[in-house]
Amino acid sequence: MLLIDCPHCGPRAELEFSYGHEAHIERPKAPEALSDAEWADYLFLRDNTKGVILERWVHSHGCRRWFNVARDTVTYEILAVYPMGAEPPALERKTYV
Amino acid sequence: MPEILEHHSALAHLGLAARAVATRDAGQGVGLAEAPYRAAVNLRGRLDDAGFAAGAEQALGCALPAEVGAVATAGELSALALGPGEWLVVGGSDGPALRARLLAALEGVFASVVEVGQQYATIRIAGPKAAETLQKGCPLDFDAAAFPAGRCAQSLLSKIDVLVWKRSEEPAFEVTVRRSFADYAWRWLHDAAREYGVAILAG
Repeated sequence: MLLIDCPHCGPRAELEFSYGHEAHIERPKAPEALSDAEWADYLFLRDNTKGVILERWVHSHGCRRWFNVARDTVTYEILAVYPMGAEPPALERKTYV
Repeated sequence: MPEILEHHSALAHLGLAARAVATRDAGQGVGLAEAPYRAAVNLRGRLDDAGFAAGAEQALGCALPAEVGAVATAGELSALALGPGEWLVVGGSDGPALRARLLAALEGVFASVVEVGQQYATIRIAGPKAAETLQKGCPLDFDAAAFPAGRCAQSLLSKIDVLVWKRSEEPAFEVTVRRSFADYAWRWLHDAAREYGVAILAG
């Protein structure tokens, strides 16, 4: 189980959180101008990164607030926790074969 | 004139009053009690708004705690910081009066004041094995060093949402659950505490 450092409550068990999938996916400014393929890409297609990903979590059984997490999908190490709406911090991104 | 309804215990069907004993035996590790109805108001607002902070302080008699998990107490009222900009104000037995008091103090201020007392049921668990009992179903660390007196935390207890409040230095906790989970929470705690010896105490 992950130990996630909630920015408001401190380190808590993963059990208390819900996963919000990939972060920083921007809604298209002009959805009516998109092709079906572009719309499908926005709605459904996500990176399947082996390495550091940026994702959203919500402390649903604690303070009920959302925040962003940078996590390595290989080691499960949480590299950074930062607020919603903020730019991701500069991280050293390991590459895996 | 609206009829004033009596507060009905969420655990009335268990007949706890008839089974309660005055004190826990020395051999019993845990005492369980249902706390009587307690007024509660969910208060939301921005602490960096001077009008909100001052209004709340005037109504409560103490400043709202900023840090999540902190509790501020003045007289019979306590403010438990549930999240950033969110508090549970508890105390006394008159929910509408508590709500009115906060509303009056926060008039014209951007805030939310919602009476929620009847939504919750509170179980008191005390005794040398209280922390160990809770630990069986909750990922929080109940050690006195990690969970000192005057702190609260929201978490899960055997899959249900709980608000745990350690009011004093005693090894005792107040476990607040949604009313409809009260029966489950009580039975779970009673079962979890059985191996330590459990006394049912009067609320």
